[in-house]
Amino acid sequence: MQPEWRFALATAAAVAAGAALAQPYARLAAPYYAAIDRLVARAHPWAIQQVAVLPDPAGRGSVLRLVGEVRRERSDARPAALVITRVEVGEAIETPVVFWTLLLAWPAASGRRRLVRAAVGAVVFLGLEALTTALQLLHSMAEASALLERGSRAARPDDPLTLWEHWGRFLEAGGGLVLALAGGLAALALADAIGVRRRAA
Amino acid sequence: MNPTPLAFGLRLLVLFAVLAGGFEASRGTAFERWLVEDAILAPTVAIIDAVTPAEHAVLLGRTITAPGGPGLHVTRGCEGIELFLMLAAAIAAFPARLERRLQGLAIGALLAYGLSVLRLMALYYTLRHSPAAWEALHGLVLPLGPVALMALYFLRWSSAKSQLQAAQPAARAA
Repeated sequence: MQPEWRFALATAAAVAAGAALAQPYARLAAPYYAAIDRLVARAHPWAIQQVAVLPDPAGRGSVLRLVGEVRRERSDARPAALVITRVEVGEAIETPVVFWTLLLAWPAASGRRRLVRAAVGAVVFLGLEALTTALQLLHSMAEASALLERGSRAARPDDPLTLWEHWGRFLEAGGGLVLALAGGLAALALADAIGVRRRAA
Repeated sequence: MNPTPLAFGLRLLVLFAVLAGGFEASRGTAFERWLVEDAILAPTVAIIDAVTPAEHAVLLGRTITAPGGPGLHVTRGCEGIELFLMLAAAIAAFPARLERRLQGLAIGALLAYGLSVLRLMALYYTLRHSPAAWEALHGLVLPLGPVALMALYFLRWSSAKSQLQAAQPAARAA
């Protein structure tokens, strides 16, 4: 079979599977997103209350919802803002669909090679998920912090809003897909390099 | 010589970030408004009204709206610009002669434009007539489908380019 046809069939199958499994996947991944978000929140006056999959308030399927509190200072007893962020479950499964389709549909000389790729891919994939969906969920907390800070003193050029906003915009404008593709290619290269080293040893 | 997958992936990521950053910097300018509103959204609404005159769709700012239902508000990442930027980054990341790159970009731009308009039409009809399918279509199928088709186009372009390169030394040897 020609590579183009193999790619087209693998993509069609992956998109169909992704559409069917978007909600279960988001439920499965929610604790991981919550763990990453809590880790990031430690460096900020933020507290993550919940990351869960719920029905979309607009009645269009389900969304991954983060509820968090933002304080002016970490030592403040009471939060200054309650933040709710929503990401569609279909968007959350984009990265896994692109990444794993590329990794598993790429020609391999043996089943063993595929297993090495899957093992290396799992590690790279966890990093990609943290950089994409987990950080996308935190976007509004950074915005709330910046707004609170702006309320007490003039915004600085290194306002946290700028960096988070730039990253969020990059992901929304196709950067998430490109990141998943580049991550997939990096995982392939890394796995193949490990395979070559083991054969040489 | 074709680049390694890792080198290609890194070049693609960096070039896409540069192109997307450049386009992001143009947000709010007359060029960006012309590109998104006049060149993409207005023709989309015109086609919707031509195909389904009963819709009476109109463009209000960046929202495709019609009586008796929700309007489609087109935000960042939904206009289809990223399709062209991805292709441009991929073609720039792959070694080829300038004329070959320009040819690939010109045909690819037309394809990206057509796919963007079709995607917006599909989103509009889904929102209006089949909101239950919105989750799967808006979040996954309609963003990835056009990207997959663009990727197929890129694969054809890059493999044709490789065949051309392989044929040239053979022709010279003959």
